[in-house]
Amino acid sequence: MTEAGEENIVLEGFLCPICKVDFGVDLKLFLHFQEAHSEDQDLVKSFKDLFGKAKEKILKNDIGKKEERHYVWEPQEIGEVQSHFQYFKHCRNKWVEHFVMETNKTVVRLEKLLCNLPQDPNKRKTHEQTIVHWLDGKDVTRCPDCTKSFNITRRQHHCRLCGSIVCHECSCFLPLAKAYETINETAKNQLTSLTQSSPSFRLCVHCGQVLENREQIKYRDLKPLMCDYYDKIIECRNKIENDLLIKFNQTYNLLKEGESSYLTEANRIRSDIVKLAEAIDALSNRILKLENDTNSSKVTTKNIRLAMIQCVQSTVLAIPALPSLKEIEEIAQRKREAAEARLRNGQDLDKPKISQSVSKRHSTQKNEIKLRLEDGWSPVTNANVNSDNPVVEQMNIIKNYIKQAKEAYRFDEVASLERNLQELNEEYFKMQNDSGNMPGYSTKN
Amino acid sequence: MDLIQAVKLYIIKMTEDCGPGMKVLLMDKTTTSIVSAVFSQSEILQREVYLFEQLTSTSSSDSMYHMKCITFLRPTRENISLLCKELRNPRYGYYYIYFSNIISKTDIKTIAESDIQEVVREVQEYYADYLAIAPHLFSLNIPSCGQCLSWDPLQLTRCTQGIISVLLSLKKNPLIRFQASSKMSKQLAEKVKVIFSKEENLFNLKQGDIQPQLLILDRREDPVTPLLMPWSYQAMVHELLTINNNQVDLSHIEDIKPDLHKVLLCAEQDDLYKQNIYKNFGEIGEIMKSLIDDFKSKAKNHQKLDTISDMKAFVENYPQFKKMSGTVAKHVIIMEQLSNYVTKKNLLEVSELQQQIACDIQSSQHTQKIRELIEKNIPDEEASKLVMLYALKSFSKDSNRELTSLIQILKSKKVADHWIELVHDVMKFQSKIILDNENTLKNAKQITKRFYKDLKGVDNIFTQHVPLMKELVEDLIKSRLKEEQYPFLSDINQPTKKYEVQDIIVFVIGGVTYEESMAIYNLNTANPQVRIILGGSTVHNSSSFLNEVKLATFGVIKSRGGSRKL
Ligand SMILES: [Zn+2]
Ligand SMILES: [Zn+2]
Ligand SMILES: [Zn+2]
Repeated sequence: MTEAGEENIVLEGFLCPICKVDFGVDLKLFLHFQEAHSEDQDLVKSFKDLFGKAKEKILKNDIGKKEERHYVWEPQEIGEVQSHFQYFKHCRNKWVEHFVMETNKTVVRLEKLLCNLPQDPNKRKTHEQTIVHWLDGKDVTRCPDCTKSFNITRRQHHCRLCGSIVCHECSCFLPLAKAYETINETAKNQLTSLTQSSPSFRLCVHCGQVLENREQIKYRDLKPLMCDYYDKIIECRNKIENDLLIKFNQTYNLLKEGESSYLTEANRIRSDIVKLAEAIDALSNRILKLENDTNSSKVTTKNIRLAMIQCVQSTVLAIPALPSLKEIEEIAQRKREAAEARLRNGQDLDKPKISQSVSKRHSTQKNEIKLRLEDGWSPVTNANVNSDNPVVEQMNIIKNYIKQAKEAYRFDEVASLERNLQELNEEYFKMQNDSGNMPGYSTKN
Repeated sequence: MDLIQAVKLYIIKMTEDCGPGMKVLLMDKTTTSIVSAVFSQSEILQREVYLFEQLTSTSSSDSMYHMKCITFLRPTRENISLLCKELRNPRYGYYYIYFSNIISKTDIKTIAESDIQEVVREVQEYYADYLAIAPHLFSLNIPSCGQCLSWDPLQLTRCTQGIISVLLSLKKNPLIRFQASSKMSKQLAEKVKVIFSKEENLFNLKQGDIQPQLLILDRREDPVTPLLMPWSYQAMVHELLTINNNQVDLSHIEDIKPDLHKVLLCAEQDDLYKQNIYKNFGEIGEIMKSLIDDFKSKAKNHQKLDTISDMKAFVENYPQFKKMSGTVAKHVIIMEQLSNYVTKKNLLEVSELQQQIACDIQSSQHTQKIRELIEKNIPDEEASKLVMLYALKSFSKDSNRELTSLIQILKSKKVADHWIELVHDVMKFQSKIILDNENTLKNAKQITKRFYKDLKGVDNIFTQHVPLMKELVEDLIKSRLKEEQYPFLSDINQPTKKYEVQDIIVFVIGGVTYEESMAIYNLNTANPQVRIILGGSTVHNSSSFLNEVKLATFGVIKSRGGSRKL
């Protein structure tokens, strides 16, 4: 997974699709693309020879007649699961009880061993044997751990804590200093006098493991600095995702409706989000810079940083720039005018037709707004907008244009179109008065 | 019944079960591929998983008590003992243990007795024990199922487990059908059945009115399909470049950048790939070309932007820009490679003849055409595959003599012995004993079919052959699959009335192909009333298939005359 994942990231870099050079930075790729591949010819050429005969033979029959269809299956719930945790705990409890007893016994023996421990090696051995009964080695021919037989080179050794017999390889040593630590005694005065002689106890692996586990548990609750930073990151993230983003979307939609009074509020929320995103960025960077002694923690910090960059990016993408006060007021103005016009006309100008066509366009365009921003924009005449009255027809067309221009964020065009519409509106109003009472139908002469 | 969703849901649940906090995912080799088939790294990072470790005897000893460890393993003996070792000296804070399949009580007890520090917080079975390649396709990554045309007991177990986990992850308790002519199919079907009754509680599932059907097939029934040159994108990449765990190795290409030595081809993470997986070579070429043009025209539209800030705006306007340039580049390289191979191996001519042989078109000319192509010095493997197809498909009285002479030509062309042996191996592998009348009947059916096709217009000459499996599944959908040849396993759950079909799980011993996967995809699309899942011991291309044939027929001495009525 790590391997595959990393490759995937590399491939998302700024590669030129034609010469496959990675440019690292978007701008560089963009410049390269303009310089190296601006000629139509060398672009298409690299592809022209690629398919040759295959294209003619295979393409001819299949293309066009295939319609794009996919099977769709309804969403499903998670599959079967089976928990063994109850049984697991049942087995573990029995074993842990047994183990705790054993640990206690071992520690008590260790305490006894350390109490009045003689300095002289021979006296010490006698002392050890009075505390723990040493197993008689006569009948033991093999090491019970590795089952290898004892001989001159593989000699018998006694575990000082349980008295059992093991070979050298299956035993370990407990330094005296550590032994005192284990029973929570500093005992420094004893230590200084003892260090010279025999500095450790020989133990079987089993007893060694028992004491080792006891030690480990002591360290389990220590948390590295990284955790503090990480907790803060998560706090920021939760605040953004569960609170601020929701509020931002609400106010942003109100602004788009022309409610200018929410502008300050929206700005405040937006800057709060940006601040938190910056904090996430800074904290994850600090995690990255932490001293790491192990390879695993290096990988971990690197991945945390990666995840947080993604998180910051998606947050920033989720909060578009706010419209200016002027733009919002323009929206409000247009809404008022539209309402007034409708009121004055006392009729709906083919409203259903327009809104229908608009809503259709709207849904397809929404996702592309950003892409279309800089494209050459020109409104599309909608064939649906028909009326018997040429002025009404013209007005409908312009309304349609306005809608499209708004969707394309062409506010200057919107303004001039609005003026246009206003003129037509007045013209229409005049016509109505002249012709009497035939709304929707009139002869211009 | 979406396999990718099924695996994803399990893994999402794992990351949720242990609550918030930094997580490490501890896996074995197989579960690593299972997870990476459905999740991209960025997706899994967003679920607070920051470290991926494999449980091996040489694992690092770096302890990180502040991390929660999600342990996802196959329940193998080796894994259990490694896990016990891990728990005796735990490197992480707490352990949430998930097994990808059914685990015995004894194993649970062993693990529990290693958990002296009480670090385990969860022990569950989550049945994601297969590689989900597409919503309708899974593989078990078993390169070879056995020897002497019988099961390797280890692989029989693995296949049983794979099928069981697919069924449990989709909550299906199906009727079992198998290919009567195959001993291996019957054994596998019986094994699955044994688990059904042993794990009654698990399989006590709520079912709809129509019980699902599990159909177990044997590759030996159709050794032709894997030998044919495929022309759809995914299948073609696998045939010519080999897809292994969703990765394609490109390191053999001269001057390739180190970043591109191995590229990821995963539909879940690569939209371009997802959309074009089943398109044919010609179509993909067109699509690539238009993508480049599109890319180019987008760049062109902004050529008048002179200032840096204008360009910055350009890039901001294309959030997809970065991603697109990378993926397009990847597919362009792959397409270049594919077209190089097509030219170098003369694959258009080879494929045309392959199709003619496979579909019995102009049979009288086959041997002559094979000779001509071999004379053109096509690569050894292509030459021998043509002879293999001829051997598998020809039933005329002279065919033995013709075959001998074709093999002579191969020898005279200094084709490696290995390939010539494979011609014999493939014949041993083929299970079908075709009786004369059945043969003529089938021919008649095919001739009618072709006649109708001709009326409709010229079919693509490279994709005329229809995999046997497609025909079988079509029959199954119409409830027309013959019970004599594909019986139900037990008489207990056999449907009394005429059965209806809704959910189908097909498993092929000896592997499936991506062409067959496409056939199933098309059947799913064309028949919204049914849902079909396809799985195999592996997904073969022709060369991995021939490897399996080699191993499967090892020790088989049966000669051609004995297996077939001539
Ligand atoms: Zn370039
Ligand atoms: Zn030993
Ligand atoms: Zn001991």
